Amino acid sequence: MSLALEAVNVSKRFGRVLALNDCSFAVPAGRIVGLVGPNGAGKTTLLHIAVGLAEPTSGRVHVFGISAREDILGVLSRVGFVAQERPLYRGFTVADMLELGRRLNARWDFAYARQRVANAGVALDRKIGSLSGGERAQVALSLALGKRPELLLLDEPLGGLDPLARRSFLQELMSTAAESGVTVILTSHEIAAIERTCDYLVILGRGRAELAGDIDTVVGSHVAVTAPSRYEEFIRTHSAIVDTERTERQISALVRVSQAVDWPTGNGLQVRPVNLEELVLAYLRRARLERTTK
Amino acid sequence: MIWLTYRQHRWEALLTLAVIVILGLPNLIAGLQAPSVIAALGIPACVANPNFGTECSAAFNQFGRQFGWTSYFSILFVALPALVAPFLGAPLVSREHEFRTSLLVWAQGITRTRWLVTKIVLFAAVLAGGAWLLAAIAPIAAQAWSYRPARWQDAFEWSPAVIVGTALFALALGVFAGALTRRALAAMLIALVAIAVARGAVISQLRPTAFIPPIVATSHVGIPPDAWVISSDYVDANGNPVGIDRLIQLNNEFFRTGSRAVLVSSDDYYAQNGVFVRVKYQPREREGQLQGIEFTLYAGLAVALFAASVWLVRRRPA
Repeated sequence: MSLALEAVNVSKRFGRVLALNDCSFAVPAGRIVGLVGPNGAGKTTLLHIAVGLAEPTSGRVHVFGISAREDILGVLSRVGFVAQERPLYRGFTVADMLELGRRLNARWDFAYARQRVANAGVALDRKIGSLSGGERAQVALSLALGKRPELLLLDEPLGGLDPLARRSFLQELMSTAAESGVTVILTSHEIAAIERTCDYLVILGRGRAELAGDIDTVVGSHVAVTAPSRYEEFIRTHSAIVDTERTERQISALVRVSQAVDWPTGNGLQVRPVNLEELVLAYLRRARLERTTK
Repeated sequence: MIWLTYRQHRWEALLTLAVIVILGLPNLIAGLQAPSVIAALGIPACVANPNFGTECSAAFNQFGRQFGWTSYFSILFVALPALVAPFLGAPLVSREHEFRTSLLVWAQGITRTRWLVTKIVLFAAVLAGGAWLLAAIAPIAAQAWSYRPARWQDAFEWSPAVIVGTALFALALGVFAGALTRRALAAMLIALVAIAVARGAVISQLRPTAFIPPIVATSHVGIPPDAWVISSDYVDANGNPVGIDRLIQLNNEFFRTGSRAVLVSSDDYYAQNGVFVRVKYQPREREGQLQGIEFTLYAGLAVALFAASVWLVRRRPA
C-alpha cells in the first residue's frame, strides 16, 4: 500500500502557540480523505507544510515519500493545492488563470483544465472578480487539477458556497477522483458532506491526529453505550472511552472497541452503533476538554 | 514567470512609461529650443555684465515667461524615488500576502526564489531603462530650467549615476519593506519615510563631505571658479571657529583704518589679526569619482535589500 501523505512527528510553533504537536498519521493513495478538527487544530498548517508553504518546526510531512523541505519542485509537481477562500488574481480573466497554470507548471494539461472550466459553465473571457463563489471554486479546482496532480489538497473547499454550489462541487470532485484516481484530502466542518464524499477520515485535535482510518472501519469500531453508573468500570476495562456524559445514576459513553466485546446487555446496559457525526463530535469534544483542562 | 510578471504588472509598466513620456517630452522640446531663445534675447551678454540695464531685465522676464514652467521638471528627479519605493516596490510582495495569492502562486511548479528573482530583475531592468532615459533627457531639458548653465554640483542630481542608482535603491527598499511587513499600506509608508531619510542623508551629508573629504583652503584665492564650495567660515590659528562679534569688530576696523587701500581684501586683514578664512570645497575633477561612489552605494544597498527580501520570502511561511 503506497502512502499519498505521511505526517511524521510534525510540530509547528507560532510564537507561543503550538499549532501542531508531534502529529503523526498516514493517508493511503487513492482515497478521498476528510480532515476534520476544531478551528485552530492545525489543519491548514498541516496542508501548508505538506505543500511547502510553511516549514515544520520539527518532523516531516512526506508526499509520496518526499518532503517539500528536500525537494520542493518534486512535491509541487505532484500536488494540487487550493487554499482557503480560493485566492485567484482578481484582475485576471479565467483564461489568464489557466495560462498562469501553464506557464508555472512543467506538466500542464491545458485542454483538460479548459474543458473542466467549460463544463462548469464559466466563460474563459470572464474576469475573476465577476465570478460567483461557486464559479470561483470551479476555476480554482480546475487550476489545481490542470497539473494532473497525484494528490489534491483542498482547504475548506465548501466555505462560502450555497447548498446548490456545494452539491455540484462535490459531485464534480467525486467523479474527477473516480476517473483520475487522484488522492484527495479536504478539510471541512461539514460532516454530512464528508460522509457523502470521503472514504477515509483523519481527526485533528490539540495539534495531534486523534484518529485516522477508513471511515467504515472507524465507524464500525465505535459504539455508544448507555448504562447504570456501576458499569463504568466494566466499560473502561473492555473499551477505550472517547467521550462520556454522566448523570447521577447513568453513564452514556462513546467508546472505541478493539475486539468484539460481550456486553452484558439487558441489565439496563444498552449498546448501539454510532454514526459519523456522533463519532466526530465526540472526538472534537474530547479535544476541546483536554485543551481547556491542560 | 516573465509572462506572469508582465500580465500582473503591465499597468504599472505603462504608467511608469507614461510618467516619463508626459513629463519628459515637453521638457525635452523646451530644452532644445532654449539655447536659441537665450541667444536671441541677448542673455549671455547680460549674464556677463553684472550691472545690466532694463533691457536685460526684460530679457530675463521674457525667458521666465517662456520657460519658467520647466523648472518644476527638476523636482521630478528628487520625487522619482519617492514614487518608486511606495508604488512600485512596496506592493510587489505585500499585496500577494494581503490577497492571499501567495498561497496560489507559490503552490505552482516554481520555487519562491525564482518567482521573486524574476520579478525583481524585470522590475529593475524596466526601471533602470526608464531612469536612464530621464537622465539622458535631463541635461538637454536643463537648458530651459535657467538661463545660466547649470553648475556641475546641481547637475549631479540628474546624472545617470544618481537617477538610476536611486531608482534601483528605492525599488529595493519598497520590496524589502513589503516582504518584511506583508502589509501594503505599512510597507508604502515605511518605504516612503526610509527613502526620504536616505536621500536626505546622502545629499546633505555623505555626498559633500563623507565620500571624499573636501579640500580645505585657507584663502579664497586659488579656489577654482567651478569648485563646489561646501562651507566657508572663519577660524583662529588653532582652527577654532571665530565668533561673529570678533568678525564684525575686525570688519569695522578694516574699513575705518583705511586698510582697504593697502591690502587686497578683508581676508588679508583678518589674517594679519590671527583670523583665517576656511573654505571646504570639492573640485570639479572629482565629479566622476563622486558619482561613482554614490552609484556604488545605492546599487550595493539595492542588491543587499533584494537579497534580504528573497531570504525573507523563502524563510517565512506563506
